Amino acid sequence: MVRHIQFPSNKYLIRHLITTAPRHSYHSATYYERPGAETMDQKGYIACDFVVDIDADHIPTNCRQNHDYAICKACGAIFQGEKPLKCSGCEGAKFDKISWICDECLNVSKKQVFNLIENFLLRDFSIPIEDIHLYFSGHRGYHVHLRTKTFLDLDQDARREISDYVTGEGFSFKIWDYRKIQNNMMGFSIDDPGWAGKIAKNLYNILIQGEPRIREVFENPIYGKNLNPAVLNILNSNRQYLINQISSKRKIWQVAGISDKSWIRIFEILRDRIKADIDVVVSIDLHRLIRLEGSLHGKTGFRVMKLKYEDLKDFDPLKDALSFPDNPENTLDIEISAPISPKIRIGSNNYGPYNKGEKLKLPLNVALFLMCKDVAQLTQLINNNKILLK
Amino acid sequence: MEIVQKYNLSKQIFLQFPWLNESSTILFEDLEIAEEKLGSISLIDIVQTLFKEYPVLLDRIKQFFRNIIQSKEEFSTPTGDIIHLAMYPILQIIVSLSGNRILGNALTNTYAKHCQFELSKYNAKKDFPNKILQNIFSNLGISCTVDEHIYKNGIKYPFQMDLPSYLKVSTKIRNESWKLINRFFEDGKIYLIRHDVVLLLREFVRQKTLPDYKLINKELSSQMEKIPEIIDLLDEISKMMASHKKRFESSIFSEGETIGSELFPPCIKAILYRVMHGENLSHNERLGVAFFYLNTNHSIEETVDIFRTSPDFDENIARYQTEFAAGSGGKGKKYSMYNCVKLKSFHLCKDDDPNFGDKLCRDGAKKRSGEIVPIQNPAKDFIFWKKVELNRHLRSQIVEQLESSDETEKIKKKEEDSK
Repeated sequence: MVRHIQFPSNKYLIRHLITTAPRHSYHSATYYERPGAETMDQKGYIACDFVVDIDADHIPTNCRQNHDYAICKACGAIFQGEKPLKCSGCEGAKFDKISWICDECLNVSKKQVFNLIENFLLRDFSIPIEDIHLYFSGHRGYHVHLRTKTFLDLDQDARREISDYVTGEGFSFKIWDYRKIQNNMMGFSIDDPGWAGKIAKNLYNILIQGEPRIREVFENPIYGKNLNPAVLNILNSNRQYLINQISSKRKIWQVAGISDKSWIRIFEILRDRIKADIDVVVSIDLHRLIRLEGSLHGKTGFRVMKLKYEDLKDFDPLKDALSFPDNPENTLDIEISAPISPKIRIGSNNYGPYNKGEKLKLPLNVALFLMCKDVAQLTQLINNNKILLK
Repeated sequence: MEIVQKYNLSKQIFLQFPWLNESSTILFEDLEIAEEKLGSISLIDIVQTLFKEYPVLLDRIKQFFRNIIQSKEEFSTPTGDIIHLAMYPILQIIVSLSGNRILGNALTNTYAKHCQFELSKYNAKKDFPNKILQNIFSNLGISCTVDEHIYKNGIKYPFQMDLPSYLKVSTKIRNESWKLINRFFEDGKIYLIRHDVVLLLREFVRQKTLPDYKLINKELSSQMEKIPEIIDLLDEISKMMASHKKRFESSIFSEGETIGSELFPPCIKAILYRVMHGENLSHNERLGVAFFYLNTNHSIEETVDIFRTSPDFDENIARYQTEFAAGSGGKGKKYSMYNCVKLKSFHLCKDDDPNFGDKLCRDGAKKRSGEIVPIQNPAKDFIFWKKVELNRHLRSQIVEQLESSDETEKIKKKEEDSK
């Protein structure tokens, strides 16, 4: 990796990119007095964007089981989904991974961006929408940059505190008045600002949708164990009572048969539904490198691009972030080099799955994607190693 | 008076709280030094003038140091007069010259506690109504508004502080009740009661009154040390500190600031570093380091010794708490070390800290099979895997040595053969 480079203007940056053609390009999210200095101490820290990284990679999704693969390096055995600890064939522990993307994981990231911006950045933090800069990362997620003066100057502790708030980390039931008073369990009020109110509102919204929704939420939590079935039944049968209590802003939520421990589990399940699933490490880092806008992501060939928030809803990364014109004459001849190449939708068409050794003539964006994913190799170079774009 | 109008604060408040911005203007007015002349007067001249114009100043400063060196972090001298104001810059200079961080922390704690005491005492609401508190914050550049009509759950929350100001201080208190997630937070504002605001102000004052040790360079320092009053004060302080050696020279740490054993996890190293510099620890930091020591075969005596350099060290309290944590008192239950999740929620995890961070905490330990084991407890997992890591390193060094000696032998043999 080549680091510590500084350019006097965009012109020099573009010239550098043309001459070196790096597979991945990043810029620092930090502003320095001397960005080109060799060591961090010499750079002279000024400020740092508050960057939020939302990536399907660290959000639990079911689709991963369908489109990710692990290939044993020793015997070549293929395992669908997460890589196993050991290969069942040869006991080998080293694997090559094929991490794929699909509409489901891209939509999960998008949903989390909406959650972050709507429920946290705009509502709680009151950040003007024009100060929220949104980028598609070029792969499985999005980057949100906050460039207001107040966020630029935050130290690492303050950044962690904001990340904790967004991810629901450190919520103290004790401090939020969750306790038993004369055998009455005290809940939260929907009027409470911040997390207590969020939990009360979320529970209310689930309860009013009826039993199927209650079961769906508490039988399939995003993280951790299901709610005990007996407790779930009690919650269902006391649904109306709790709806009345919450809507009339009464904080006594005592229900016979639901212990303190069960209530805490209920709140934890709700917390995991409310929080924005962000990569905390990125947000608290004061010297982070972040993908360069306009560059191509080396694992997909898609463009890292700035988005307007109002365009996010209709943004389709597998169509709108493609690097080259979708011209039928723009094709490449490739050969599948990995044992498997899962199915991918690019533009309006599906491609694959393909098997090793298959020789294909594919649209440029698709071929590029497969090569960036290291599952295919170029078989024919056009016009003396130069790819002509039509 | 201009500054009084600017901040809506009376002259008396500036005399009482010399850490307020522009309180020096009051001092210069009293010394009849015109604002336009300030640029041409050196710091040395100002110090000399202060001692000359306020003859009682020297004794007051000596009395102040006598008190704080004896662990009494409170003013035994009057706090609302011009001498109190004149003391402030001299105290800062003296502590900077001494370079002693334990003394510096004792100084800041005294000012911070004094502020809290004045704003919380019986008549404080009359003397310092909420509006005055708002003006004090405004003087310090902190955005905190007052609205006496805001109620949450039947409790009045008259103060609304903006997020950056709140985070600047609350994150240094390291207690879960100050976490943003556990606060009434809406529209970028944190709703606070008066008691909260006083505690936050106390922390602001602590940060603001921290001496800048780099402020006085070598040249200035040698000039300062020619002023008879400064020589007298530095002499007196070093004598006073010598009689309280245990507090000012911790026996656990070497002077070169190398911290503890190489098996200590980053979180503990960071706490020990703070305590070594005479900083007061938060409740959770104290417990964390005490639990760690007691769970890693250290004695109660060794554990109590850690806290000796804290400005607010009280042997009886520290011993009682340590014995309690060790299971010698109370219910006889020995407390185990906080796990990593708990430490993270207290902001005490330093896995990626540039000074203390450790790859082991960040990435987990790697078993021979390639399986990654996350570090979940600093007293158990970290130490175990650190030992493994060190052993592996040692082993690889031995192998390397053996290989290189094999290589040399081979070369020798080749040379001999060729001969």
